[in-house]
Amino acid sequence: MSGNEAWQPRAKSATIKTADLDPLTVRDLRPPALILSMTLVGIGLSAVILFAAVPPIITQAYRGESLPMLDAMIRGQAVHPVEHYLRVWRDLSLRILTVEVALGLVLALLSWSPLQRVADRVLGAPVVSPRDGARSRMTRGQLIVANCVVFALVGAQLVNIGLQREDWPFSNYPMYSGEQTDQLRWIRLYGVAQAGEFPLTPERQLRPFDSVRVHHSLGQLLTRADDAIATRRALQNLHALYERGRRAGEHTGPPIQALRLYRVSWHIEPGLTNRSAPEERELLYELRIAD
Amino acid sequence: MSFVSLTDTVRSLRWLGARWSSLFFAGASAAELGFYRILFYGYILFFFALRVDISRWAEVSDVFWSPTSLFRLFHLPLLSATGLTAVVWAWRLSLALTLVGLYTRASTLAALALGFYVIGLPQNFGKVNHNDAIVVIGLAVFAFSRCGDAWSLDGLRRAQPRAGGSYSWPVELYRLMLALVFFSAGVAKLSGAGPVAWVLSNNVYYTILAHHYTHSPSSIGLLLTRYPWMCQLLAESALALELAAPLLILLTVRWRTLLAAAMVAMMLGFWQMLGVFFRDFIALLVIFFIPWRQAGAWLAAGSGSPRLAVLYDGSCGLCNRTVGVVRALDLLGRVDVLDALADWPRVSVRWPALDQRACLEDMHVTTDRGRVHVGFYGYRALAWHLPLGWLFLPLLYTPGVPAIGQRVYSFVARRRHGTGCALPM
Repeated sequence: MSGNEAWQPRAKSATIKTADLDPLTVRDLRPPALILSMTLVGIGLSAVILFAAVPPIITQAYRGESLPMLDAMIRGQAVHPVEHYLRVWRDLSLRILTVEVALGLVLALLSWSPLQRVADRVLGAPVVSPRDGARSRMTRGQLIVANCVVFALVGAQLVNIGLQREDWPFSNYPMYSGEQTDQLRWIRLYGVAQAGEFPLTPERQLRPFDSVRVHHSLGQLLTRADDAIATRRALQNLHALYERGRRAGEHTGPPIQALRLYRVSWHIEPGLTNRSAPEERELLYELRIAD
Repeated sequence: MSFVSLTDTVRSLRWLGARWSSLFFAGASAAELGFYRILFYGYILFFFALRVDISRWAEVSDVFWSPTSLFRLFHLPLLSATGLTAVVWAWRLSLALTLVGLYTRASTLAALALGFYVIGLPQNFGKVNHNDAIVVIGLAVFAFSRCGDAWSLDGLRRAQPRAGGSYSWPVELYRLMLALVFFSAGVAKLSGAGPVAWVLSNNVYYTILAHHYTHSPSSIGLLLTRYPWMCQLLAESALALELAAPLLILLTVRWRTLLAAAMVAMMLGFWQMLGVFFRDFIALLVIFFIPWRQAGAWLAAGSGSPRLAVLYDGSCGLCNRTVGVVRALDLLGRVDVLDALADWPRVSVRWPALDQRACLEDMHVTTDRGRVHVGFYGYRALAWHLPLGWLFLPLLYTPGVPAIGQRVYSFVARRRHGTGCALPM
């Protein structure tokens, strides 16, 4: 078949005949043994690779005794022991195996004859019928490209779901997935002016930051090994953004003499009576502008 | 393993293949994909790209720089403010070209590459925004499709329709990706807090209240928190909706539309109760789950106006191109196109008063009640039946315009055979 030749799925594979559907026999109720077996073999092989073959390689790479490419992947020897990397790998391996099991079960379920019959009854028989004739037929090349795009995008999203990770623009969409209790902790910036201390409003005063990004990004910096240096640089930058906006007339905040980074916490009250006055304020860092 | 089992397995896999083909390649017209292209890129251009300003990120310290995996993989740098502004304008240009369907292959790829950078840049500064990632996925889907084959300047420039092509998979894939976003959020809740903690505790109750400490939502949520059981009901509904999202691509059009509407309502609820507005999700759900074909058919059936027939000179290249445009714009299916040469026996039976020579000289537009419009007035009659034409109706009825329009029409019509626009042989 040439590249330009139109390709269409064969009628045999495209349409389920009614005669194929009835009657349901005992044979049809058997589980899809071959697919289940292949899934089990795949999981077994994966388990051997993930839990037996890879950990020694990680240990070697940690010591700089593996291939240069693998050695270069581990750079935090000064911060983390090798057990840290092995633990991270074990967690990842468990997630990979979970995804494999889930996909295998889904595939086995979809291959199960009774379920296919139910699907055909509910959804109607699968039919491929291009509405606008020849213009809608695909060449084999087009079909391959289209399927590759479908598999790549859906696969990337499923990997992010299964491994609960974030590879923007793919994501596991973890927003609001944690449990909110009656305690709320938030990282907040305050400015110190002549008149006293006041909370900054990032959306207006620290553009392009917003309050959620200030909370998350500064929170991340505080977990770094060089947190004091990083936080100082971050606050200096945020002060520069504040001043730039003030001079450009984007906000009417006063000149500030210091920036204070607090971790504030509230006991959430239904009446919100304590909203403007956090119950606890832990000073994490102070940047004096004259510094 | 027995032979029978192998046969059964092959049959099952064939069934899966047929379902796959049915889902993604069941067939849609080039016009449908072109229609979705215009809606999608129109939304991105006017409600996203023209409002975005990423130049301020150039002033942010590299201490905040925490690249996402793909930015790290491609070693994408943070440009200067001028560079960022240039990238945004280049993105807007590529979106505009895609919107009108000019150099669509190149412009969709450019829109993807530039959009990935423009939308992705802020995600590298300590927080990932989950609202607009799906926009980039959409740009990727359309970049690999033939969305410029119809409803596009490329389509008008092309004398003959392109051979091959499939137009259903991009829209179906994007619907699936939208569904997976919601499904992901549901799974994250199950694997994060767990179903018991997320649904049966006071989680949603405290989430609504907590957002009044950190955001600025409306007071609707506070009303709800007076009844904690309603918060739990809300949690159950939200989780059920998210986990049911894959049904969006499996259900019939009616149920799918209802499910999508429920998700839009959920997003609007988040906005009111949490102060977080998922604008892009709402817009994209509306664009991709409104049953436009059915809505068009309903509009056409309800319009009550008579069908039109366009009679044209089939030996004229310009006329053939013109009726090609008319066909492409006939969204409501209210216009028949007839060749006054090849179809004359049929035409003369239906409209015996018409003269073939006159029909070959000037385009005639007739209603099924026998009313005839010629030349400019034919185009004006068509404008009532083509949705895009509705925009031009005020102009076409402006005093003076018909006289000028008829002269222009006559000028072009008299010269059409002598200006090299004869039918290509």
